[in-house]
Amino acid sequence: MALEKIKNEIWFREELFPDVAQSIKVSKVLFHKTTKDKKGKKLQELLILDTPRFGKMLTLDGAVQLTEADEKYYHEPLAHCVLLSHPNPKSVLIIGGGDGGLLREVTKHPVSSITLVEIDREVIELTKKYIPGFAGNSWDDKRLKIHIEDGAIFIKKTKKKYDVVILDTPDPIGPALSLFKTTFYLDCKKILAPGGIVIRQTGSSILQPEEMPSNFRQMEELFLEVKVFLTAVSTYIGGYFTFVAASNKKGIFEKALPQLGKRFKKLKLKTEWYTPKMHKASLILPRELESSLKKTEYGMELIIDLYDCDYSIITSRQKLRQFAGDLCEVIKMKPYGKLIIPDFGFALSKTAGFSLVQLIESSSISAHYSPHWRVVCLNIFTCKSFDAKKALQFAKDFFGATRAVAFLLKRGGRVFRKDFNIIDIPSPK
Amino acid sequence: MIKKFLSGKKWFFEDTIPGEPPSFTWGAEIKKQIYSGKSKFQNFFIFDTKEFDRILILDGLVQLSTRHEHVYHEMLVHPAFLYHPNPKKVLIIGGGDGGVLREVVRYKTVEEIFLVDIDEKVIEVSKKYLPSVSQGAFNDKRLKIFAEDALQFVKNYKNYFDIIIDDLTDPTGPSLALWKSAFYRDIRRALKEDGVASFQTAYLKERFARRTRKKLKKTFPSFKIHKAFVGCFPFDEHTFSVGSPKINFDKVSLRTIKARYKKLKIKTKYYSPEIHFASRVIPGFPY
Repeated sequence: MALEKIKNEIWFREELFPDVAQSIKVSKVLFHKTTKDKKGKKLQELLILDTPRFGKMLTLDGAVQLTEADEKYYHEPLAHCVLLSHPNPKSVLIIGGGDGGLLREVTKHPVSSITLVEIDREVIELTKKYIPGFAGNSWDDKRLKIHIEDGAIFIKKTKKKYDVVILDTPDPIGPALSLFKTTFYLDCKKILAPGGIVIRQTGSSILQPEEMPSNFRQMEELFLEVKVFLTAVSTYIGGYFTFVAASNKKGIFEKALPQLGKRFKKLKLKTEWYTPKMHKASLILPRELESSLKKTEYGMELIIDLYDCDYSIITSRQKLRQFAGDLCEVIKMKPYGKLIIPDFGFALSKTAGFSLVQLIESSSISAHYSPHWRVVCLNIFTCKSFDAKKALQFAKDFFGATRAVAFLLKRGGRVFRKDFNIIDIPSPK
Repeated sequence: MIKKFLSGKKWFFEDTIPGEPPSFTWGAEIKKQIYSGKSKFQNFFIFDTKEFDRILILDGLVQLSTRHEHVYHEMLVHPAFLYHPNPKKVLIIGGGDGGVLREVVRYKTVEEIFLVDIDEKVIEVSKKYLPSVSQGAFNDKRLKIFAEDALQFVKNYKNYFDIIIDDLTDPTGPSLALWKSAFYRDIRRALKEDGVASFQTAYLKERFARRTRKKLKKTFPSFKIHKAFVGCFPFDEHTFSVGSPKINFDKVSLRTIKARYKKLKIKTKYYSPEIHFASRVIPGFPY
């Protein structure tokens, strides 16, 4: 429960991050409920609060969704940056967005159809009731069609094509989880009309640093053009808030830039965040964000051969167990599941000896020990980067090897790499 | 404020923004307390945290985190320096942590650097516990340190500095008197006509910050706001205001900034000539 009492005052403390939290003073709890679907399965915990600083505030599962004070800094770039990048958007699909803020911005454009797919009907009803005026008359817009269902399922089965698809999705917890599966973008691509654009929010650049680059890369695999837009939303704390937009029309975002002024003027949009200048500026990334997009390999593999190892160590199950644990600490990875160390293959001297497998979070360590040859063959494969030299030095020291040879490979990159780095520690003279 | 909750873990929560009744704040779990102490002027805390690495807290307000300070210091220093064709004499007001100084010493054209921080203890503590911030810049031969009140110090100079960097804590305690129009006029007088002054002016949307930027705009005929998101100020973009009596910021082109930046041969982690211009675009609402 995200509400706490401090000296007779009620404060909302966000529970999105384990070790960083914003805390916002509440003047009144307007609504509090755990919503359920038709079968009675828990959907999400919903709170509507009045706050002195940010006005009315909606939270889902302990995370701030919107506040009256800053929602425009989220909804305006999300709607206008794509709708004005498209030369002539007619059909718009909104996934999520039950609060109506995005809808309000979309209805300002002369599109002919708006489809809104929200999984939780109560989000729509309750924001209408407790934050009236928030979405204006947009819920009554004649162009609007509402579907109450899982957005991922809707996208999979719809036969229609859309000029603009806006994914106004919450964080990857609760019922929105299906919107974060990797095949999701394949489905999105299928429902885009020629020259169509899809955009999604990809979290905070500092507290969720992996979100934007990983979504960017997934979209880059499927689309010809991918861009990042930045905004700053007070109650989405911790860094620039990011959106990734993609299209199959080459250069669509660049070509739109000289047109923005004209398009913006024609619409007579009244905005707090959006201006054509902000649109252009929000496409320019700080150097460190720019470079986070360039890391294109999937992971790295360190292959180590150790020679003349200490016989007593490579034949001790206990020592090998200790090695696996210590190595995880050296490369800063978390072990996943049980360590396996069987001793088999006695038919040949070459194959006799322990083997070791330890899964580490989204990667693995495997090793083969040959007491006859006094050789250790070790593989460390991870999708996070680690200090290869440290790992090599540690393994060499642990087994008392006199010579170590290692290969460092980049794995799964989109460009096939013929080159790999060879680190060679020569034997002492 | 240090609080204990969430299965007994220790958290630090920031005191609220000066001049406002407390209505929102933020906090982080403390991995380790590194230092706590007191000077004649302010209270000190240094903590290690997971998301911000090491943070420095003065009088309950976060001053910097070692993970994110480069954004703040690059954006406070480089726009001002690159607007200027040939900066030689530099004054740093506050900045006892050495972060501004670290960026300033990268300019080979600079001949003289004055650093005026009323509280020597900030320098002493930062050197000891935050060495990654100053990176040895306190040993620079061009530097002179004055442990004085900047309010008086600035009055002694007329038409002297090419660059003045105002790196003060938010308007509480020892800095309170330095967030005033009278001080800004003294800064203008200490600056050469073609000099540039750069000020940390807090969050974009904060009320006291907006009032301050208005005062600066009145003082300097040429004025711009640059903004950047600094992780340890997590509620909004932070602003860095630049003012000059004579240099027209609108007439300094991207080409000029690019050429000056290239000549410097430095690597910045956040700043780039492109960000220089993008960072001064302000949302539609008039801040």
